[in-house]
Amino acid sequence: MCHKTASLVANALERAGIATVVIGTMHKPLQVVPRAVVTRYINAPVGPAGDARTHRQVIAEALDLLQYATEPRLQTLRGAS
Amino acid sequence: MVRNEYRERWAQWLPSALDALAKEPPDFAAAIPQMPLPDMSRAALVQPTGKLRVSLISSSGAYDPRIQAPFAASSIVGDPTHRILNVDTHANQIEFAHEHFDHASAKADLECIIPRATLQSLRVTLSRHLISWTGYLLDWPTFIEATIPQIIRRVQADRASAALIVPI
Repeated sequence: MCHKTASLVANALERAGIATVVIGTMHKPLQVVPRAVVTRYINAPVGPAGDARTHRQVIAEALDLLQYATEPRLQTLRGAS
Repeated sequence: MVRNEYRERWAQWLPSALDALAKEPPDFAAAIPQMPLPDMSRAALVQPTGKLRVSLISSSGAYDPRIQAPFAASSIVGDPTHRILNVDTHANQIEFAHEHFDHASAKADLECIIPRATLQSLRVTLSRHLISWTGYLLDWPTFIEATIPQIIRRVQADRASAALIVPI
């Protein structure tokens, strides 16, 4: 339900003129948001505690979508440690 | 009273859902998947302009116990409200009122869900406030009619050009 309510918030913000990117762990509910990064870290979507390298990789991916995606994108991050 | 078609569909579903959730343990599978959904269509993309100024938004139920009440995390119907925290609130001063995720990672390292330092290390400017809600909530009509508009106004008032949203 967190992901579904997040999709409501993301789409409402976009309709209000604010660009959004969602970082989550579930594909299906995020298929309806403009931009999303899906990771495999349940309870810690940005990456495991203390893993600054993965945090940086996930956030860099999200920022890349935010700045350069010109159509809806759902990016699955498989390479993170 | 102004009619709201979605709220009417939701109100018709609510009694059966409450029956299922009143069981011990609550029968979430009988209640939640049947909940009527509003328009879930995807919005057209907005391109951020100028230097990024990002609002961080989380469904983790984060709140500042020094100045805020916790979300009603134990309520079987959840809590449709939200909290606004100063962006520089120390991690040790942020608590989570959300019973549907394991807080251990977030308590050990807030960057897992609220990545302030990581964004700043990538030279992104953060807006003045963090925004949170608690992702388990059944009162979607109130969330849509009252909470989301307040979130939008906060983001706009903070002059953010973009929002990073982290559901749990």
